[in-house]
Amino acid sequence: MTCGTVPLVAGGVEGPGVRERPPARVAGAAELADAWRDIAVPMLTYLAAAEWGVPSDPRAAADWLLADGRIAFLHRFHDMPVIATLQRLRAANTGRLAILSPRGADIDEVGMLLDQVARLACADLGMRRLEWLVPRRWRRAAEAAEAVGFAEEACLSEAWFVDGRYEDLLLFGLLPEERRAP
Amino acid sequence: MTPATVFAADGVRIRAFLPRDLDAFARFRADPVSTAQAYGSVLMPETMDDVRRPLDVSAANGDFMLWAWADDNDDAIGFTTLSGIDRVNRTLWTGSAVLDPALRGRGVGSTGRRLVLDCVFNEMDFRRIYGEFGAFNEASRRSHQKMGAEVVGARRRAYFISGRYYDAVVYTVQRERFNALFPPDPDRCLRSLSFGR
Repeated sequence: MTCGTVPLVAGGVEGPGVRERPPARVAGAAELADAWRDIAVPMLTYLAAAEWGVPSDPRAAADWLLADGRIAFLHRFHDMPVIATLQRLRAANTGRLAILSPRGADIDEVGMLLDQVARLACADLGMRRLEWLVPRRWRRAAEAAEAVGFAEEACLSEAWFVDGRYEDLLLFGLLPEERRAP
Repeated sequence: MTPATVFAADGVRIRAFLPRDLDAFARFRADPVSTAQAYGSVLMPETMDDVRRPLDVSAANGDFMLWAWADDNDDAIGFTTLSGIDRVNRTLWTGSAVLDPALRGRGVGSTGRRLVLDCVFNEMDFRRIYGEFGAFNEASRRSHQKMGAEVVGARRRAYFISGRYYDAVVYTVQRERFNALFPPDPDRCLRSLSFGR
């Protein structure tokens, strides 16, 4: 972990084992809203492609990130806000995640964040399946996913318009028995 | 008036999902065989308010639509959901089913899907659609292949039915591929106008 700041936890989850992980505290909607001001525009087209309907408005986005069974972790790395969010899906005991920052999930710290969310999903919340849509260009994110035990399950061709062209999104899936510490 | 050639073919017509379609929709959602195939899980008993919810979501939410397939009597015989409607990247996800089990296997599903994709690609200007079906559902696989679908992977153990897990096969249909199979008539909506032709 290269940051010198304290990760924040939004959503109030403190299940068994959670307290043993990196320092965490509950973040309020105001902190998420403040972070969203830096994240919303760079993540706009990715969020659309990955079916995360987070509103652009910071206050509405914060409310959205804390509603409907979603859990959001807020971190700051070298003053850059990063939100890692986990959502329980309609299908029983399955979930999906997103890691959002002005640089997406293509950041050095992505492995630590992914490990934290995957552990929460599989070991604490008992999800039997976790999935993540990763743009092909986010190489550090894809490598981190594979290190945690995710498998590349599908390729959504040309799903994301970025830098003037359409690029692929890779669907990564994690089953609990395949999870490993990176 | 909407040109019939855009939305209708072979005794099937695409139209808005109406409140009077709810009874047929409720029967479909109460049938565990139908929902296992369509949703990858058996739905628990629902009230009519539960059944009506997709209609309410469709009206309130810009990234979800529910359309009905009607027969010659204007009775609903199938439906399509358009979800994850991504107007930025011009993609969406589709799901569809024939409501009455007795009508399955007669080509109704393929006709309904073809009409919907034609509209999505050639009137709504979407570039690509995605969808999924249970790995056990050979009829769905065949029907999607007829539309030009390409399998792009599988969500492992995504479905849970009667104590067993099943993979969900993920597919995509690209507009160019669909239009090569079913060339659209560019004059179908403007034929009656002269525009100096």
